Amino acid sequence: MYRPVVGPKLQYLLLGGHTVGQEALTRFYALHMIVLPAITFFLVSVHLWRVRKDGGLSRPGEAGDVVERMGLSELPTNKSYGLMELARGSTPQVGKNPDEEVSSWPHLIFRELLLFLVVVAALLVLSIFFNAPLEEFANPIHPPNPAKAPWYFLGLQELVSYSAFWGGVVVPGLLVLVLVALPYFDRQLHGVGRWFAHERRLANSIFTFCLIVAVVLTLIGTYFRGPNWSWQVPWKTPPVSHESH
Amino acid sequence: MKVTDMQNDSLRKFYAWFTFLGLLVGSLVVLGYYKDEYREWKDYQRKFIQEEIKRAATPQQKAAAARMAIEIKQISLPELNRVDRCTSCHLAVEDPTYGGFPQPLAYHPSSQPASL
Repeated sequence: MYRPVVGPKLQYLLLGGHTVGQEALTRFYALHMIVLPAITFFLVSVHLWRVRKDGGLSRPGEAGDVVERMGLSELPTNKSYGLMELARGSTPQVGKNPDEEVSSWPHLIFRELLLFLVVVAALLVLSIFFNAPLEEFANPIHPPNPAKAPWYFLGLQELVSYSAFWGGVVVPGLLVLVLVALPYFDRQLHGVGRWFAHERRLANSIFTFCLIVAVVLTLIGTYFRGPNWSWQVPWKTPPVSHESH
Repeated sequence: MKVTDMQNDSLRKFYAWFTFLGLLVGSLVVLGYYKDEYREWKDYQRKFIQEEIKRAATPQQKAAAARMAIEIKQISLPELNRVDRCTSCHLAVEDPTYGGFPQPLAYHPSSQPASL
């Protein structure tokens, strides 16, 4: 696409020249390693701060539920708050009954810590017992066929293989827009924070559908696509074809 | 006196899990270190360094052998779009004094000059 006036300047800034070469690689590396993580870090910080300030993404349901589902003997009436600071102003939590809450520490943090340990253990097992594939020199003259994106992009690549515009721009763009808009049109509070809540059947079904589609597309892109993105079955996979020496 | 959150029975199961997962992660870290430190090729290189030290005629040669780094040896052949790492294990492939030495540290009789 052509951008008047700023286009050539932008191109020069990104590529470090007029053609894609070593300079462009260096710049895109720096962009991805420094600039984008810095922006992400800032946005994630704002997001987490906002989530805590609004009382969490999800809450544990009604008072009776809390006692039963958290396995408490009674509601923590002596709840003491781990304050980080006192600030003037209003949040959605102001005026709410503390009976509908349990404290983040230890109930939430313990669960998060547990999950963290499970993930670390799983990553260690993967990195110890499964070696990274060692391939030949990358050769731009003879790229591998099929050239596949990292696994988490293969669902998208599968979509793009049908239509670059619809699969690569419209569908993912719409999905992102829907995610951004979701909190504005889904304002129902009943059933929030409960697994498989009846009141949220529609929302849960839509999400599950999207998730299944994404997983299926990724599986197809990963295991069922061979040279020239043609169909293949994984148990008859020809080796990724490189030009022979 | 009422129980506080931290003493609650519902949290007891977490302590058992933390103990188990903590020990698991700890052992995996040790295992990862062990596996990296005792890779097959590293053992061969250590053996080769021991042999070189044994054979050294002068203190200088001995010191040079002891200084040898344990590392992947890679011969890069850009014209053939190929990299060879054979000599990471076959360290003495070009040294005739290693003729008849047990593999992988043996001399290769047709190794000079390499015919492609």
